[in-house]
Amino acid sequence: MDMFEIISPLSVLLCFLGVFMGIIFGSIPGMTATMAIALFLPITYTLDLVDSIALLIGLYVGGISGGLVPAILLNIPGTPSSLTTTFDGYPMTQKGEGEKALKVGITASIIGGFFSLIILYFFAPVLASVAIKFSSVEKFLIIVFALTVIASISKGSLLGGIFSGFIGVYLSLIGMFADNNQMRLIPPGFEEELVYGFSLLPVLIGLFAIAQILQESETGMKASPHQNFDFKKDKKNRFTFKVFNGQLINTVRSSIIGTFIGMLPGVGGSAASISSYSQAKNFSKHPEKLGTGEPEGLIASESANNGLIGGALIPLLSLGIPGDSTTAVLVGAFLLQGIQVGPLFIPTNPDLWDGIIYALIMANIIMFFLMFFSIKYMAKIIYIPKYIIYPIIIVMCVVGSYAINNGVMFDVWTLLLFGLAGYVFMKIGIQVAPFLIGFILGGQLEKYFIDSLKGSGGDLTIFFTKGPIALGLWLLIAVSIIYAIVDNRRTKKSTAI
Amino acid sequence: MKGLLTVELKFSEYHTIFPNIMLTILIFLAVLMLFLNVIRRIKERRLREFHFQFFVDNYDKLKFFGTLVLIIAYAFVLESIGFLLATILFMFLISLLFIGDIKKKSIFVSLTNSLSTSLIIWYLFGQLFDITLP
Amino acid sequence: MRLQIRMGENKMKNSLIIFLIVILMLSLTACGDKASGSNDEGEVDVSRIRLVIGSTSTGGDTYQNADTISRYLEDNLKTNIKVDAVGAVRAFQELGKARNDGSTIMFFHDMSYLGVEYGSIQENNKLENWTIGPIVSVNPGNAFLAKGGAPYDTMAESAEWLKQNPDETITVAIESGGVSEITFNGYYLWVKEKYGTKVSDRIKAYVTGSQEDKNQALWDGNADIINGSIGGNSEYVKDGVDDEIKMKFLGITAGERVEGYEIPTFAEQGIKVDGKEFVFDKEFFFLMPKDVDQDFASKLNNAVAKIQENPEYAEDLAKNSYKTKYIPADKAEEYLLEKRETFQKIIKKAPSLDNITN
Repeated sequence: MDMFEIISPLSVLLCFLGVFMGIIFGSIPGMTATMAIALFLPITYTLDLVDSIALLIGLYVGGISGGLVPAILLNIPGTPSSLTTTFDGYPMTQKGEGEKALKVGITASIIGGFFSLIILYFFAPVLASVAIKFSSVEKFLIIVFALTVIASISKGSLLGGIFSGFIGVYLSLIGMFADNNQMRLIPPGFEEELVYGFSLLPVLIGLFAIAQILQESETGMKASPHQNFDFKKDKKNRFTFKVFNGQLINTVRSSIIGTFIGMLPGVGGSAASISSYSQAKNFSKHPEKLGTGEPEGLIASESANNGLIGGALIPLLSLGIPGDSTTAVLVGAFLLQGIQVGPLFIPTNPDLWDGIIYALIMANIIMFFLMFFSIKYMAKIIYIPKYIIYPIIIVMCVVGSYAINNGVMFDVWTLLLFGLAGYVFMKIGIQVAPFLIGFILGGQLEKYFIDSLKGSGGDLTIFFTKGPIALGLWLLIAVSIIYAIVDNRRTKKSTAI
Repeated sequence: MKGLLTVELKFSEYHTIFPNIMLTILIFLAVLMLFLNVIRRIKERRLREFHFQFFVDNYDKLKFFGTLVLIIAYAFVLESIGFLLATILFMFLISLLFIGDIKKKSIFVSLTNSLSTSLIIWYLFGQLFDITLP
Repeated sequence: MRLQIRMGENKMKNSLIIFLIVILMLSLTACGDKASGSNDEGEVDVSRIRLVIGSTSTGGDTYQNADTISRYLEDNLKTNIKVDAVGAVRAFQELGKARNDGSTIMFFHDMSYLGVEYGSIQENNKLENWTIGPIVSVNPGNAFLAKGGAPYDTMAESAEWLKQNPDETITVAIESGGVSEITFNGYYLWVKEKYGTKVSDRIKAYVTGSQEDKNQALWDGNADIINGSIGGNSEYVKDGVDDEIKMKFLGITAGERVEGYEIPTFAEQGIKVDGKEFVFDKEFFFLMPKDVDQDFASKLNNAVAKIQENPEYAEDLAKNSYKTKYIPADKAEEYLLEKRETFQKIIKKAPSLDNITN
């Protein structure tokens, strides 16, 4: 191990800095890991290669991990992939277990991170050649599989949840279709603003943050019960690693799902934590408890979330194909240094490859300690009176929305529109989480659907005849749906009695 | 349609295929839900009962509409009077609204919060990180 | 007790880090300032220029060319430049709203007018409605590729192969509405002229989005030939790449060969449209609001002229196989309008994608 020949003290410092800034960006609603990396991109030009990689990997790991903080404490997903973290994370906070939830979350994160790192290090080239065997047909089916979570998280009415999901998909189609540059579904007069449709981030934080603030203002902005909790004395709620007893399979399964889905170019991101959450629910011994503040769901979401990082780097480093938007920005950083990423990247740049692995190890460890020991302070956020924290959140959401596409005012209007929509949704029974999942995955669903048909000349049977992988995926989809229906019936019965 | 299992693909119509499928599914689901709802109501013999209430009882009119108006107004003036001024004003007013009174202490709290947050965001993100602010 | 010590350490650590960040930021900005040289005349009045580019990717050639030129411009104009990857439609919108002091300007390539011709960019964004700045660089790498094992080695051979195998078709993966489509049209029209519709009717298009999608189309077998670039695809051509993903270049559309690569140009292969050699160089230039401050425009132009003479600039571009090219602002307009006219003719004759997609 010549680790110290590759990693200089400066790169350790830069990695630390990256993780720190990444956590800040990840934990501010409206700011993302992608943004943090894009922001630091021009600076990397002045650094040497391994140093800049250390900085960027730090930002990536920190940014993805930071998303759990607002998701757990404030019920606002800091990044789209921490959406499922809110499902069990926030209920835990409401029970007064916010600090515990954060610790469970970051422990799951580091496990997922290291798990995917190991897979990346030992199996990258093999897995990459598997990844390109997934054509648009298989990718379409994976997205469908991720969407089946809608069925299992629908509260009350199963049909209502599915309906909400499809509305989300429909709204995500607004704008220009990239293949033929044609616009569709745009209300007259908004052709300019909606060319690229509604941006995901303002929609996400609008539905969560702004809608929630509106709802609380309706009831007079009173302090929530959990704000008055003094849970320090309550020993039952303290975090110990015992929470992970019996969660081994869940953690490993979620890490695998995260790594695997992260590895498929163009799918990545949110689909990983969403599928993993849905599987945790399907396999759980008490699925009805998920969504009410069970560490189980939190572990599934967060270990998949960080598993994604190693996964997304697999096709990037062994094929030169970025797995998600964040790694796409990383490609830019390599190119600025004049380094081409492609199938021969690892054999021709062994030092750089080691550097990336070391940077990932460092970043994960730094992330863990930085978060673990500052959680005490972070958890205090929930004690800040609403009249102080909510105005700050609104302003941060506005700034983040404005900045997400580098200064587009319409994104601020999107934020407010969906804030109001989210509030109205709650009143008329449209379920926000299924809606969002539909909205997040809708664009990819269409892209891979059309791509599959382009390949088959319009023949729909391609989805069944493509090959064994497709059939296997159909099986998974079927099991997931049947399970969700059975579970829904059971919950209904138990609540009826 | 060439058949049930074949979709007619035409390049200039690519963009309408998927939205049409989704719309069909949505309409189908909506009709199904309506149908099931009517059946259930007939079974329970309360076909004519409707009690939908949008706002909760005794909702806080001032705070709700105040918040709504302030946020929209904030977005409106953001680009014309600049981030810093708009944000300071907005945060001051909305904090005051959330506290719900105009005592000296409330004004002080609101003012500190709005000034410090706005300046920090403006400096940190706008100046240091070069993020494009309104 | 121990916990408290830890807390204390943590606080110290935090403040230390913040301190370090501030120092780093300050030193980085300071570096930028120091580098600016003696020339006081070239200084512009705006302290910050927002450079919007016509691509949403920070890994593509538009971003790289914009980033390189803006790094040199910062020194010469004594200002800060921020490259914002907002995409074509949004970039034009921003430029339309921009003040005339040069605080927001745009950087893009030939797609800016080709898109208007193809209808992917709105008519009101045509070249006449902007002030055209200098042309600053060129990406000569626009290329076509096939799988490593394909039965032809050049674009010309692929047509010959089609002729000899009357049952075969060739599907070409392209992006619609820009550089990718125009160069495909060039190939298609040449085949039609030389071999007749019997052969050209068996050329199909597979229209998709990013470079990754086009690569995947080749690997999936949905396309036989793909549009790509030297910068983006040369890694898949090297010896040692698995046969599964191996590619080979069939030709580039630029006027001259690119140093270090043995790829024949379209012209060398004899690809002609209307009797003229088909040559397409992807050139990068600035666009400014119509009523832009003349002083700013001329300072930008002078700065670009000066940068072109700096060998470091050429070196930076060469890292990704780009080349310098300078056409001053006053000549660039005429040049681009003429270029547009040439390709308008081709677009008029080009087949509708409706007829050549499956």
